[in-house]
Order: sequence, then C-alpha cells, then structure tokens
Amino acid sequence: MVRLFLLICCLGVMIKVQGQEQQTKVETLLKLSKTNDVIRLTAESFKKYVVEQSRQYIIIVFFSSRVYKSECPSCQALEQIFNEIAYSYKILGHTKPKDQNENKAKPVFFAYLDFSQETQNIYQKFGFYNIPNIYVSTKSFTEDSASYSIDRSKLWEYGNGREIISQKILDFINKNTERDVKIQKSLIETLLPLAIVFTILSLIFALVYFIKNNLNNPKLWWFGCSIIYFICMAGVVYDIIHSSTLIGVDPETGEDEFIAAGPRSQYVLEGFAMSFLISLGGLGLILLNSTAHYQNSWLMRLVGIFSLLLIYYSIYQISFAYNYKSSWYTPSFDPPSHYIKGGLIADQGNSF
Amino acid sequence: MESGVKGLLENWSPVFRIIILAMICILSVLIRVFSVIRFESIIHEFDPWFNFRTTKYLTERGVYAFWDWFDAESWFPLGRAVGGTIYPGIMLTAGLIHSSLHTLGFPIDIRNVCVFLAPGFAALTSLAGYFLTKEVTGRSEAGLYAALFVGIVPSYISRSVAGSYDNEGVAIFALVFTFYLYIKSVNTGSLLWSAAASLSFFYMVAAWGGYAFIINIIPIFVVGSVLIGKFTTNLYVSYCSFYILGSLLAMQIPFVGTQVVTSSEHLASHAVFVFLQIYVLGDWIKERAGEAKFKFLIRFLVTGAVSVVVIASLYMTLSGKMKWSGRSMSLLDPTYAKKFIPIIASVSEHQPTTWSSFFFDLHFLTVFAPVGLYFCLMEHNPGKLFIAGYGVLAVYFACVMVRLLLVLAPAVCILSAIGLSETLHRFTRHIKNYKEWASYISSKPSDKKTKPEYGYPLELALVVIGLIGFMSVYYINHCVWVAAEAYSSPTVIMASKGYDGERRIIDDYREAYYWLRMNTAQDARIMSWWDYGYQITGFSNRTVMVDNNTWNNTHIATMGMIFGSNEEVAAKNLRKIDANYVLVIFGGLSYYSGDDINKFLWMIRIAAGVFPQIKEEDYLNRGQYRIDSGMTETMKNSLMYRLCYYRFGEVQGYNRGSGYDVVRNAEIGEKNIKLRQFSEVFTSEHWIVRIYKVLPEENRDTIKPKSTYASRNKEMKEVGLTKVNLS
Repeated sequence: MVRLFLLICCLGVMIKVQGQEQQTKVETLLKLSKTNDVIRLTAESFKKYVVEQSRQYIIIVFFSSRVYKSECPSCQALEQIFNEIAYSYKILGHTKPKDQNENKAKPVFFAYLDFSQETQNIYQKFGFYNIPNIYVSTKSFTEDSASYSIDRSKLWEYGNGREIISQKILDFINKNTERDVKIQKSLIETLLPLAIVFTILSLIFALVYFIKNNLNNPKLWWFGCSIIYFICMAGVVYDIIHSSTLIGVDPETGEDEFIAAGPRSQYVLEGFAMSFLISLGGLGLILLNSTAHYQNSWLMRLVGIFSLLLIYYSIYQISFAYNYKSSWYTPSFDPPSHYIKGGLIADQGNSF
Repeated sequence: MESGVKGLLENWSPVFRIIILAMICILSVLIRVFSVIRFESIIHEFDPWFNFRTTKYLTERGVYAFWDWFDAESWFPLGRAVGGTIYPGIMLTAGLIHSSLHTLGFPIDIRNVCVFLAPGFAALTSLAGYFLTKEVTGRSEAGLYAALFVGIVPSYISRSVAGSYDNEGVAIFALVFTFYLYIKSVNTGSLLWSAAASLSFFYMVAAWGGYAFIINIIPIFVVGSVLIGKFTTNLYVSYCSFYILGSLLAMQIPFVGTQVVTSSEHLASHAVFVFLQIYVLGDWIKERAGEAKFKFLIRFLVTGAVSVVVIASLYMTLSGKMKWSGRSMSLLDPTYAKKFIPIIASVSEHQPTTWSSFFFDLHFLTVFAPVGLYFCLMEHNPGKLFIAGYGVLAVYFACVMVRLLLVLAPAVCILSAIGLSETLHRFTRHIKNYKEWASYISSKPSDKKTKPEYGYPLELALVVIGLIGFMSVYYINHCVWVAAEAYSSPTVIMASKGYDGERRIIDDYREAYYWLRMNTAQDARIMSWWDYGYQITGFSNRTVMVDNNTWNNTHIATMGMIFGSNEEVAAKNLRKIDANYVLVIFGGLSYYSGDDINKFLWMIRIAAGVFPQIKEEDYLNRGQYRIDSGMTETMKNSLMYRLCYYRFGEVQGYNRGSGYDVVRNAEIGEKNIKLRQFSEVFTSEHWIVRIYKVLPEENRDTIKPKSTYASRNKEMKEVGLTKVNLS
C-alpha cells in the first residue's frame, strides 16, 4: 500500500515536472517568436524543441542554407514564402497556446535550421538530398544513429516536380496544422501597390513637367519608344515570370550555356543579346539613311559600309542563334524532300 | 523618248499597282492553303468546330432560329443559349457568303466556305493594310510593301490557314480596316468616315473579344495627341462621333450588351470622351477668363482632385474596401499570376513571349520595325503617330502574352513597310540622281557646289537595294516555310514519318468520332474531358457534358472528380448525370504526348477546387507523377488510369516488355486491369481514342424466399394446394 502511494506520488511529481517543462518550452518559444517570426535553431535546440518529448505545440522547420542561398534561387523563393506564412500565423494569434491537447488549438511556431557542419547530421537523418525542405512536426519522434522515425507525409521536400507556389506551401502547412490561415499582409505590403501606382504616376507627371518644352521633340519620343521595344523584344516578362538565370549550364558537359535549347525558353543574357542585335540591325538601317546628308563622300562611304556590315552581322547572328535553338528550323528555297517523293497520284500528302 | 516611256509608265502605274495588289492578295490566299494541299479541306483544331457547327445551323435554319438557339447537345443537362453567348460575326459572314453564292448559282458546301473564309479574309487584310499605310504615308509603294508583309506574316498565318475557322481569321481584317477608316476620319474631319469607322468597329465587336484593343488604343492616341499639343477640331469630331456611334453599336451584340457601360475595358473610352469635353470647355473658359485666372483655376482643381484621390485611395485600401484584382496585380507584379493563379500561368497561349517567338512569328520585320518607328516619329502626322503608338503598345502586350503577337503583327508590318519603302525611295532617288552627284563630287571645292538632296555613291546605293531585296526574299522564304511546315496541321489529323521516310496519316480522332456517330443512339451522352467537347458535337452529333466553352467550372470539376475517382464511385456519378459513354485520349502506344494521362493532373487540380475529397498529393508519389509500379493506390484505381491502360498490359512493344508507355517512358504498374462497371466498345487504330460504355447498374440481390421448398410444400399441402390437386 505504501509502495503504491509512493509510486503515485512519484508519477504525480513526474507529470508535474513534465508539465512544467512543457510550459517552459512553450514560453521560451513564445518569447523567441516575439522578436522573430521564424526562430533560428541550432543542432542542440533542434533536439530539445523538435525531437525530444515533453511538448504541446507544433513546430514547423524550414531546412535551408545561408551559405548556398545565393546559388539557390529556390531557397530564396521558399524562404520568402515561409516568412510570410510565419508572419500570418503569428499575427492571427496561432502562436498563443489555447488548448494544448488538440492539434488545431496547439500553438504553432516556425523555425529555421541552417545547414552547417554542426547540423549536417540532422539533414542526413532526415534523408535530404536537396534543399530547401519543410517539416511540420506535430509531435516528438524517436531517433536512431541513422535516421529519425518521422511521418513523411508531413514533409515537404523540394524536387520531384514540386513547385514553389505560395498557395500550395500554405495549403500544405494548413493541412498539417489543421487550420485555415490566409496570408496576412503587413501595413507596408498592403500599401505597396498603391505606393507603386502613385510613384509611377508621380514619375510620369514629373517627367512630363521636366520635358514639357521638349514634348514635341521626336528624337526623345523615338528614344523612349526604342527603349520599350528593346526591353520587350528581350522577353523581360518571360525572364521575370520564369525566374530565368543570366546564363545556363549544359546538363551534359556542365559548361556554361548562353543559348537555351528550344524556342520557348531563354536565358536573361540571351534575350538581351538578341534584342540588342535586333536593335543594332534597325540602327544600321537608320544610320544608312542618315549618311546621305553627309557632305564628305569618303565619310559617307565609310559609314555606309559600316552600316551595311552592322545590318548583315545582326541578321546573320540572329538567324544563327535561332537555328541553334531550333534544330528543326530548316527553311530552304526548295521543297522538303518528302514533298517531292513520288507523283501526285501516289498520295504523299500533296495531292489535291 | 525617255520622257515618253516615263510618261507611259506613270500613266499605267495605277494598273501596275492594281496588278501587284491582286498578286499579293492571291499570294495571301495561296500561302494559307498548304493545309488543304497537305491534308484535306477540313475544319481544324477545337473552337473552329463549334463555329462550324453553329454556322451550319445558321444556314440550315436561318438567322432568327440561330439567334434563339438553345443547344441541348452541349453542357448536358444544362445546355447553352448559343445566340447570347457568342461573337456571331464569323458565322454571319460565312452564312452570308454561302447564301450569296447559292443565289448566284454556285452550289458550294458550307464546309468549304468555312474552310476558305480565313484565307479570303487574309487577302482583304492585305488590302486594308495597303489602304492604311497609304493613308498614313501618302505613298502607294509603302502601302504595297505593307500589303505584302501583312498578307504573309507568320503570326497572322498561324490563325488564318485554310480550315482555321476562328474569330481571329476575320477580326484582324476588321482591326486594320477600322484603324484605316478612323485615320481617314481624323485626316479629313469627315463625319462620314467616322461613321464608317464605327460600322467597321461594330463588325469587329461582332467578331472577336479583341475589340477591346481598338476601344483602348484610339482613346490613348487622342489623349496623347492632346498632351503633345496636336489637338485639332478634326480629332475632336472624329473621336466623339466614333465613340458615341461605336458604343451604341457595340451594345447591339447580345454578348457585349451593357458591358459597354459596366466593363472596365471600356472605361478609357468614356474617360477620354469626358476629358475631351472638359478640354474644349477649358479652352472656352481660358478664352473668356484670361490666362492667369485660368491657370489659378487649373491649379486649384488639380490640387483638390489629387488630394481627394490620394486620401480616398488610402482610406479604401486600409479599410479593405478597395482590393486589387488579380489582373491589376499582374500588371504591377508579373510574378503574381504564377504565385496565386497557377491555372493562368499553365495555359501555353498565356505565356510571356521569348525573343525567339518574336523572331519566328515576325522574322526580319523585328529588325525593320524600328526604322519605320523612326520615320513615323521624325516626319510625323496624326496617322504616323497613331501607327507608332499602336506599335509600341502592341509590342508591350505581345511581350506579356504570346497570343497577342497576332495584334502586334499588323503594326510591325506597317512600320516595317514604312521603314523599308522610305529607305528604298531614298536610295532609288540616289541612283536616279547619280549624274548630279557625280558632277558634285568631281567638282573642286572652289566651285562651292551644294550637295544635291539625293546623292550617294552608286555602288553603295546598289548594295543597299540588293540587301533590302535579299532580306525581303528571305522573309518571304521564311513565311512560306512556316506556313507549309509549322502552321498547317489540322490537329484532328496527324502526320508522322515512318522509318523509310514515308508519310503516314494518323486519323484516329475521326475514326472514333465516326464510330460514335454510326454506333450510338441519337440521344447518347458522351463524357470526356472538355477539350474534345466541340469536336464530339461537331463530328459525331452527340450530346456532351462539357466542352471548350468552359463556362461552368463546377461542371468541369465534376468531370475531373469522376476521372479521379475509383470505378464504382465514377460509375455511380456517371449514372447520376446520365452519361452513356466515356471517351479518353491515350497516346502511350503512338507517341502522342497530348493525351489525357498527361492532362490528368490538371483535371485533379480543377476537381480539387470543388470536391475536397480529391487531393493532388494522393496521385503523387513523393511529389512525382508516376504510372509505373511506383504509383499511388489512388492513381492506380482512378478511372482515368484504368480506362487508358485497360488491356495495355497485353501489348508487346518493340524491344520492350509488355505494357510499355512510350510517352511516359515507363512500364505500367498495373497490367491486369479488369473493368467492373465499364465495357470497352471502341479503340481506334493507334489506340489514341478509347471509348467505353457505362454498364447499367447490377440487379439487386435476389430476394431470398422466406421458406425452403419443403416447408413451402408443406404449407401448400396444408391449404390443399398440392401438385396433384392442382393438376
């Protein structure tokens, strides 16, 4: 009887201690998340707050690398989205403890684990081959020397055709935290579109005001129009939307590649170089027309020849680059061989 | 003698011009009939099939029946009120041509009218291009160049080959012709031309939703002209009459109707109309009140208006009353659509344009256009300014969306024509005045001879003309090649090359559609993904659940849900919506990558938006879309997978194991599919189209007798009804 009493007392003390520990963990994380939406974890704090038991909260860990960030556009894109989601959760009060027994009422914290020598082991135990990744840890898990026993459905791994789309990441996190949080924008973000519109309008008015005496200057108009033409021909919108890189890498040789294969893709430098060549050809023709006003016949000849070379060079290079991109592009003055195979009566697709 | 020849040529020049124009028109038509020569006279792709079907209805039943037509064969069971949901321009045009030809005694089939309508209109667009350029430059040779460029530019060919019976085929003519008539009205200040421009605009509204481009670019041109001090009474008269008449006429098209007042697409036209009235009123006040008072008034009004706008915008944004639409956000931030509206980003026509797309669709015109822009701005008149503005705006729109290259093409053609013809005009004058030039350069500086206006080294002038000739020929060569090889495939019929180089026609679609027409009940309902809806109703004359009109997302999502569900759930739902057959497209045997398995994830995404039980991740194995042994259970059990790969495990590939999907490059994970709720009724020659019948629901379990035979016999005996007694 006494033994049983002692056992109950011990259990009571243990539960009390565990409860206090849980409380301390939540309080610490809450305190940390007050200053930063995303808490920075070390190998030690990862073990304490993510792996070990005694927790009544959800912690979402973002696995990435500060060192390789500049070489990893996906890490940059996902980090931005992750920070937005963390801010939204915090602003809507999801970091505050409500009911720690239900997942949908547990406080949610967002953390970041940087890849380093110290944390390398954790990455290996997760079995990561790529960064960035996200893990939604709703409960503690066990570990052995080689791996963690985690629920892989709560893991968002980059690669395997996964796209970094804000809404999809949010849906993934919402699903695992059992909430329906919408992205919340900060005051600055809310006012940003308006600020952009007003800035553009102000700039236009300022421009009109400063050049009001030159509004009828055709050269100014031509310069402006040519800039727009140059930028549009370079496929700038394509570059922005598809986050094109300056140049690419040949997947077979690993060497730098300046022209992307296929007509529906391009690198930033490639687009600008081709647009420059297109503009160069146009400029050559304009220069050619203007040489007629020169008084000196030799200068006229010199600039004339230069303009002709400019035009020829531009059209040759553009045609060459296009041929390189699209191997099937083979226009010729003769009909393709399969057109003239056999007479009309033998239907080769050319009969009337 | 020389003057005699020159005089004769000058007298005959209008005849030459007409002959050249006629030849350009013939070329514009002929370059577009490669599709008929290489394949056959057939309606292409998807949307043209709906246009063709409605045109057929119009010619058979008349205009009023067409206007009131409720099409019960599409969107079953909802149907579609056709008259009020289409741009009827193309149908009415084809119907009119058909009836005129019949009246004249040419018994031409409506299909051929539809097939050759777009090439015919391309010739008209060439003429419109000629007139617009001539009006702008005042020179016929520039017009001829423009006619040639417009007639054969690949971007326009892509939408107007024979068989491409779509709105754009007639709308580009209406676009260019409206611009011509409007410029004419600005140049003359004539109400008549303005009214003609409004009528042409009316035709454009009837033909294509792209009319919004006209109703925005003309107001921009008017505001621009006022801002740079080019306001004239002609401009005022032409715009006001065009705006009023054009808006009223646009409202007559049921599909547009009151959108003229409510849609933001028309906002610029209203705002500019009001602005013009205020501007004229301001002029009048300025005249009466004097410069100083007027300046004060303007400052006061502008400051007040700006303050009100800023405060109101801030208040509405912060209070959440003003929200930025997806479209507005996309303009400010090009990555917005990718982040938040992935379905927009997924459509290939909505992709932004790369430099190579510009080059493929416009070729050397991209090089010539800046020259035309230069001449338009340096030696400007209202027409040239309009063309320059049109070019710059269109190049921006085309940069954002590859589909809008079509709108850019006429602008680039006209700018290029202006640039090249101006260059040719100057250099031919240089050659003509060579003697003056020779005497000038041989003169001593002491002679102080002035340089002739047209004088240039002969050899260089000849090289310049040769180079322009070479580039023009090369451009024509490119256009012909593109027309023949890239833009002439009807999509319904495909061609492939065998190992021996022989051309093989893959005609699975028509084979299957014909089977449906001949082997199913007249009122049979066919379920398929929406891409094939127009073709099924057009070819097979059978009712479909969804089609390319895509107006009801829930209905489309239901189809996605059915394809994503297991056989039992799918069959239950199919019976609920009264579908009799299911049609799927499968390319795994014949290298046809545009099949339903490749579109399947989009079906799931669309379905997931309406049916929460459908989840994309259930069809992905660790984020990977797989059809091999690594696929998920949900994928394996989905109706789409089972119908596409049914009996595919029996197919032994060349040098490969059985059931090898050549599109996905994988051996399928489930080779022994047994269908429980469907039976295969048709599979086309290359397995591209597969049709299944939805089996009727199984009989309910037989009602068990309450008693056995023995006890029943006993009961019968008790009441005296034994076999013996009965007999």
